[in-house]
Amino acid sequence: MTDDRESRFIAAAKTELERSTQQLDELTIARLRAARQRAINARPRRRAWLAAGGLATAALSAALVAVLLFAPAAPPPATGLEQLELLSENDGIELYRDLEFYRWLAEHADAA
Amino acid sequence: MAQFATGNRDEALDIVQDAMLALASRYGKRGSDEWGPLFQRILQSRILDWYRRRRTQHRWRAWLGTDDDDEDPLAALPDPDARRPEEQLGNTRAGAALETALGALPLRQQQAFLLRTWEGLDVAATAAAMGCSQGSVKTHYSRAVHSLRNLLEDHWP
Repeated sequence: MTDDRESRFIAAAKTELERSTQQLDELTIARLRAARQRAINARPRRRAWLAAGGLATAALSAALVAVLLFAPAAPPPATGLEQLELLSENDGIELYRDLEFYRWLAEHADAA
Repeated sequence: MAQFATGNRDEALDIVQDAMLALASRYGKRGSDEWGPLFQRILQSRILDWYRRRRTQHRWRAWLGTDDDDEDPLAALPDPDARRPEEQLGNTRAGAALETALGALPLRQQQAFLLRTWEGLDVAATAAAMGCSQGSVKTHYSRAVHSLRNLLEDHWP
């Protein structure tokens, strides 16, 4: 008997709660919809990330191959005497200081 | 549910939005059958966080002497024996009385009752959502039903 009354009470409470949900005002419903939309928009998009990651990997691989294939061979290491000579020559030091400029000049010389 | 817990529409909507965002950003890739339980877990956790923050704020205000009774979430908490919703509101509508009675329940009882009754979760799922043991859910739920029946016996004898 007690259980029956409790069941009836719970059923009545549930009915009232569901009714209260159906009676939500328009503003609240609109805000809930907006919140839902924001959540959907915030969802991470796996495909977009995969595409971006794939492009980045491909670009990195291409750059690595280009460096390996076309980079000039490293000069043989200077001996102790050559290093001493380089350090003692002002011209050599200035050449290294202006290396960027010389490189630019070499590249643009043809067009000049 | 957040509305019952906070007693404030704006706060409730913020909590729900926060829970939705957390679900979508963290668990959007999970199977759709998991979304419901996960959402409830997140939502109940957010409600509990909100409640703890408010309680802390209330203590600080009390210490600083700037307490504001209107913003005190504890003011609505448990005193079921001293309050009768229809007396307090002068409203005999069962729905309004139920809302008031639910607002008067301690948070954990309120959560257990709403998850079991409204959401239709079983004890195990309710325990998962509330982050507590099944025994605790049974205790909270039983106390909630007892309190609510006492409060609402004029509406639903």
